[in-house]
Amino acid sequence: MIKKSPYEILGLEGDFEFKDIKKAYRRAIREYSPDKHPEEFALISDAYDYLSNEEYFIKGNEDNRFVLGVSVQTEESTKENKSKYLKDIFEVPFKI
Amino acid sequence: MAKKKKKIFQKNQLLSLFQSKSYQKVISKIKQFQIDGMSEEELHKIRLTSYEKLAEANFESGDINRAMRDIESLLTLENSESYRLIKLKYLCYIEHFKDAILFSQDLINSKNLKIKKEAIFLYLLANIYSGNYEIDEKKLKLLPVARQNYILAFIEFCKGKKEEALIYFDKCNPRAKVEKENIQAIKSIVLDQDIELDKSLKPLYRFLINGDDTNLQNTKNSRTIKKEVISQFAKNNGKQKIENLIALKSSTTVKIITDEIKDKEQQARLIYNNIVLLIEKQRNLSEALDLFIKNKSSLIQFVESGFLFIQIKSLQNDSKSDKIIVNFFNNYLKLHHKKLSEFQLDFIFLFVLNTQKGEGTVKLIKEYGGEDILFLIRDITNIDKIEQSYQEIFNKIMKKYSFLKDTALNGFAKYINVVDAEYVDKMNTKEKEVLKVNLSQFLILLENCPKRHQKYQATLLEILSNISKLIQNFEFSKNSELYIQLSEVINSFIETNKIDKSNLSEEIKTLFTSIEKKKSIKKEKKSDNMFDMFKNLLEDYDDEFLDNEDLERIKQEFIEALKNNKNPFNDDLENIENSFSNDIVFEFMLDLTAKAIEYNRYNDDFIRDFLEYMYLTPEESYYRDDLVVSVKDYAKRDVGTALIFFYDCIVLVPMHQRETVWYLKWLEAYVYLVDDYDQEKNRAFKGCLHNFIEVQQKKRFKSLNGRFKKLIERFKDKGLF
Repeated sequence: MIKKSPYEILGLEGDFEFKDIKKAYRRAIREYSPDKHPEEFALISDAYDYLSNEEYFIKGNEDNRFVLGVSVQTEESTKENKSKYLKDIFEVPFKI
Repeated sequence: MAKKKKKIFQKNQLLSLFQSKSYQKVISKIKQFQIDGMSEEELHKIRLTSYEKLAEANFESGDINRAMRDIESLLTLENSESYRLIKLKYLCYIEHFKDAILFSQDLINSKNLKIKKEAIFLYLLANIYSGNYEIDEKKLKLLPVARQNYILAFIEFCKGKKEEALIYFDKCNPRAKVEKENIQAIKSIVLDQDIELDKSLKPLYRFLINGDDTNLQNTKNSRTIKKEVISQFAKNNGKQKIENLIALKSSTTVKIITDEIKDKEQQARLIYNNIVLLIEKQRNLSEALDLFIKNKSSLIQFVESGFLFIQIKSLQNDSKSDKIIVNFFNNYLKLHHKKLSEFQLDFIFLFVLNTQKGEGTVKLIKEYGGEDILFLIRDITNIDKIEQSYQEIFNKIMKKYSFLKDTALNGFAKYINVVDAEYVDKMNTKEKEVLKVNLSQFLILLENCPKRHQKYQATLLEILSNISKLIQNFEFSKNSELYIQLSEVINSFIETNKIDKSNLSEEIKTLFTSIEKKKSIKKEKKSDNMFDMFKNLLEDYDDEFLDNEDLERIKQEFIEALKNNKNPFNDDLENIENSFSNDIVFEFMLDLTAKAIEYNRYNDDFIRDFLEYMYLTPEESYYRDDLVVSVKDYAKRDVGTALIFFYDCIVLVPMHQRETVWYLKWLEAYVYLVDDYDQEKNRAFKGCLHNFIEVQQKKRFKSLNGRFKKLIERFKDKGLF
């Protein structure tokens, strides 16, 4: 199963330490309470379990694949430019 | 001076050329020869038709400049309106619009209505392309409605008013099916829609929709646009693949990722996700592993990478990548160890220990505080004297439960079972004494442990049970102390843990019976198939990498087997590849191949069997180049053996890999080796030479062009092809 990285779900990046995981978890559940954000809460809870519970981690490492968040700025599609070439090459739709 | 008389060419020969559509030849024959039996009128007609057809063919194939030249020739023969109309069309196609406007004037005034309308249409378009959007209404009205609307649409389109253009394109409804489809294609291009393409569509429209440039007119402008559009298609294709990767729909290639994404961190993230998709969606584990290894230096920045690596390695059995494990985790832990929990570190230590057992592994584990795991996996089986540090480590492990440590401890229980089932009978007296000491020391360790976590109870009881069984291999009369020591530890254990004696295992019950009857009770052994990771781990622990002495010993045994007509291949060979660099491995194989030849033991299967036992596939990228280097080196002292060995490696390459650059390089190396050392140019040689030539002619690898020419040059005068 493909899941988001548990570290990223908890907002952990850069030079954090293991002890920061619990803090990050608490911060995340404060922001995403189970009554208002049940889906996010489940994800956060799952991520925390994976990083803090040994058996959960081992099982998770067998069954789950984690992907990383990507923030990619893709250039605007250049498809539209193709129509401009109609103006540049002489070719008519009729048989002449 | 008398004019030189033209040679004669027969009429039927000329007509035959004409019928076979060799128009260029027809024209040149007419120029060079006097055509026998053909009237001037007939000749004129044939020349006109030939130039016209030639122009048409060149136009169709996209060579407008040649078409233009042909039509000029045609006009020198006959300056008719219909031929001038063709010239007008070509002027437009080569985008000489100003010339076209001038040239069209006479034709617009033609009395031939059809020519007049065509000329007006081209004149109006030439005006638009020249940037003149003012329409000559009078002339426009003379055109069919479809063409009127097309002109109007095109003016709007050139002004950048797409919506207005589309309204006119909608009204533009020609009768012919192909023309209708062309209009539809134009609308699709303007709207950036995909449509189903028909071969009858005009080349430009096909090209702009899907990049098919067949018959696209070959003007300078179209060549430039073609280049741009094709690169745009490639770019869009790459973009689409990146979008699919970001959406986790499908994986792509690293080249597309690096071409499309310039930010290094985002590149690494995408490569990471690409690997995950390769595992999860494509199930292409070997590619996933390959990609991971090639990009490990950028992936290592992510704390997730360590566990991804372990996942891939657990799914893909590949001993080659084992070599990088210690180095990778050394660097990985330097970066991330503070982020990891104790169990995550243990998980990594267990993985590393399971695949690499050298000193580097021990050093790495010790550096990051993995003494507990080292103790459970390595030391617990070999304690000959209880040291304070051992007792401290054991007490620490027992105090706090860990699933992984429990699993490692369970490995010890299984190890005892394996010793009982397979080894104890084969042990000499000294080895048995050592084993007894080890067991006794473990019992002391357990006895002196003040606090044992309840969750370890089952595993510890299993260890005690297994020791109870193993101990029966030692005669009670001579080993009563050990029996009693064990029974006391068990009694204390069941008392502390309040275990019901009736629930004890048969082995423990038998131990008590032995003590009662003062004799050992040895049951018939069944084979134990509980080989799991930890058993293998413990069993293999002594299999350190081979050293030079081992290699020499294996070599001598191999030679002895060859001499004595015995099978020289055995399991000793399998560890060589992992222990030595490729040049040593190949030299070892070449030496033994030489011996096999010397003792007349070499046959067609020899190298194949040898490679199989060595777990070595020379066609893998890891070996390819080194094989060639080793063979060339070996040829300096024994070219015959080098060639035999190399040729067998070549013929063992699977068929699907025989049209690759590296395979051709092997063939090339083989033929040069034969030639350099003046060896016989036998079937093997010719096969390699011809195969190289055939494949390169077929595949046209750019990187081999130079080599190909050089090879042809070297062998062309030797009667080989």
